[in-house]
Amino acid sequence: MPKKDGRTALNEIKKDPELQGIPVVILTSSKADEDVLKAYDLGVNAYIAKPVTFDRLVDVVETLDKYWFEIVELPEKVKQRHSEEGG
Amino acid sequence: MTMNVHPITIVMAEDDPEDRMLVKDAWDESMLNNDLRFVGDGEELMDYLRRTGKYAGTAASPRPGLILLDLNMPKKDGRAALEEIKRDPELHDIPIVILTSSAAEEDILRSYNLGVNSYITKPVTFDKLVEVLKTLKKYWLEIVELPENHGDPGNRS
Repeated sequence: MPKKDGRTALNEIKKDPELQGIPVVILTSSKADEDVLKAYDLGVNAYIAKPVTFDRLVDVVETLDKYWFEIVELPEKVKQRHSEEGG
Repeated sequence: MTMNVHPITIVMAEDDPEDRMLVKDAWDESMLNNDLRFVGDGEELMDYLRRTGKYAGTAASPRPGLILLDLNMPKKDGRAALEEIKRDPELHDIPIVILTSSAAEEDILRSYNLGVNSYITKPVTFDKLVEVLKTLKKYWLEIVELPENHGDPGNRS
């Protein structure tokens, strides 16, 4: 991304005590081993390579939705901010 | 749609033998063919990962691609193990999913702050557990990219 790339933003978020509890999922076109490893080293919650077909993208989005919003517990302050902002 | 499944070893730290058996049954029901290994507490988990204690000098502890971690365990609990793993440069890139009976906000927030990859409360019914494992499988083994198995302790000098 221009200006500040995802690695820098990820690093900043995961080092900030106020923000580090927010789950971050990388969604990128890169599948390079070094990018994957670097992201996990910086504390990413998961790394997903953008699918090339639309059907596969729908499948990824549906799985993300089910995983993070039905199966996983999120910190209360993440949920509160979500509802405050009408999400 | 068929997808490639990461052929990784998964280690689960769980002290309750009945819970282990339940997870094993649900695992088979979810058609998860991955190698699943159990350790009984945080201390055994660290021994497994670092090949110390009863895992010293053996090849019987392949580096896991994913760790499922209970929070409340004897000797070393899940919180302490999570903190230790996420502070260890050799181990901190292994994804960890908490699977616990605790839904306490302080456990959830603290775990995310310590760098857990996700936090799941154990479902109370078997059917729900199968559903959770199926989604876990699809997410971690088919959708997500995992770091290469770069740091197998067996390859370290």
